[in-house]
Amino acid sequence: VARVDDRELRRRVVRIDRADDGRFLGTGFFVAPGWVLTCAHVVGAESLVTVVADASVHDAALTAVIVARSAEGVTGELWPFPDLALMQLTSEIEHPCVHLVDDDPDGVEDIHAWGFPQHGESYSHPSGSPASFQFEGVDGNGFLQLKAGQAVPGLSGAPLVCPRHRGVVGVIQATRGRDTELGGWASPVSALLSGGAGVPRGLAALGRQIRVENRAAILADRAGWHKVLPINGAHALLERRWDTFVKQPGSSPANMLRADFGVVPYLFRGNDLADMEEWCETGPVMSVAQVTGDGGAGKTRFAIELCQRMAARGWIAGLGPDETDDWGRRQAASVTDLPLPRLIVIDYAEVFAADTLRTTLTRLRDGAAVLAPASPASGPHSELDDPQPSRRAAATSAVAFTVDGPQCRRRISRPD
Amino acid sequence: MKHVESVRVGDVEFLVEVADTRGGVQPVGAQAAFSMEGVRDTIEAVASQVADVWKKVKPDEASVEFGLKIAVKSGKLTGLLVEGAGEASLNITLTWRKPEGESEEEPGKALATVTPIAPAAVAEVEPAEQEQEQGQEQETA
Repeated sequence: VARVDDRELRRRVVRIDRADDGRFLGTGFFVAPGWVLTCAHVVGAESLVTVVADASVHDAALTAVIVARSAEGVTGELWPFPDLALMQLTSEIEHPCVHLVDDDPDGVEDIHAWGFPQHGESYSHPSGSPASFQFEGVDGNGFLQLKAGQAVPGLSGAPLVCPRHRGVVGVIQATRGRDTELGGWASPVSALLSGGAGVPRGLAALGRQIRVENRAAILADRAGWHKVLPINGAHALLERRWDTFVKQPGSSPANMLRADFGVVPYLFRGNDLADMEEWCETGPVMSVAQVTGDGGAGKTRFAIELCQRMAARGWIAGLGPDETDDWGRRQAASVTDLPLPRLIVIDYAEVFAADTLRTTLTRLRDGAAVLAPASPASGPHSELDDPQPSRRAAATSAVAFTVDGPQCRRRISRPD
Repeated sequence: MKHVESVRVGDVEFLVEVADTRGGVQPVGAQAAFSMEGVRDTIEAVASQVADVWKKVKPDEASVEFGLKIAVKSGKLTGLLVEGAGEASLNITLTWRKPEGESEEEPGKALATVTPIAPAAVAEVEPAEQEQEQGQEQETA
């Protein structure tokens, strides 16, 4: 399960102030380009507010118009369900968004918020801090009931992140005791995305629009959102067979030709790499590429270059273990369940028993999702001098069994 | 359960210990400094009710003491009547004294004394319109 990186989450959170006198009102967060979600009671009857984003996102105060909100309540009392308001920025800026999840927290792991609680000296201009809670259940009004955490004034409108769902499931709304760790309540994101009882028609219609725009924004910056929920050690699960060549006394000149050292600049295959990058980013949730070529044509170097590029894009990318590496196989098995985008190169696919390959690919397919696609790339040793044609056929058959639709096939030739 | 709230009167901002009457449940939107208006309204309302009784009964002298805690209701400070002086943030004494030489038909004087328990919480009591006509005096301790 992931941990929450507060620095990355904070970049998606904003402070909301009153437009006329700058009085602090509460917290909000970016849900789609130009859109901020908060609680209805945070903005009250205001029609225009000031939005202050993290300095790394935008260094000047912004103005936002309240476009839709749920029913008003009594000041100081709990507001009616769902207590949500959507506002739109009046100017265009580049900003990251949270991933909205139309589901309740799983109730096993702690859920995590980041907002602007009023503590001590920073009462009127809080600098922001995290808070964590446990999910107790859904109350009679439909709010998510939280325990074992402190909800302090100013935290209203803060995003509630469920690490297991890898997204924001709620919006902090109320406390059960501001000076205690009794917890509080949050509005479920599902009320915005799916509507339902108590959700005004205008807010529900806008919620459907936000659902589409949020998904597009997150898919456009998949790696950015995964930075909010990193998984420690994930990159070590696959062999990252690329290294820097350092000349030592007695170093063999032949080392300079090894694919993993990459001493020779990689030229002439920029278009092929770009095509494969696009295949990774835009393909279905699970897709397989077969890379073929003559012995010495540069298939391994091609795979390493692609892995490096995808790793730089936040993917878990590397070479899978060979058939004889038990420890490596166990490590690689964990990769099949990772909720992150994965590029797994199976070098010499024909060496694997067809059953082993089929099992691995099936697990990958079952664990793949839009936010965590799986892209295995397999490369037979050589087409011309294939020592095991029957096993290569079996491997190809295993791939065909696992993957629906057309597969990506690419042939690597020696440069002219 | 008690907590501290920021209160603004004119240009002065100070802190007041406030009783929590809602079991802690409240929305967690940011809070601005409160005003003492609700507490003042509470004192005036109680004084007005007591003065009505004295006007009817016309005693030579009478006094009533009550204690006020400060609480939050619907996002505003208000007074919470309490029994023991030790519990209160403000002790208020209302005194009725019939002026010497005045006939029974003439109205007497009502004095209101407000004793703050919390050092920073000083409430100024303004006379209700009707009491002003009757010559109510105020002392703030």
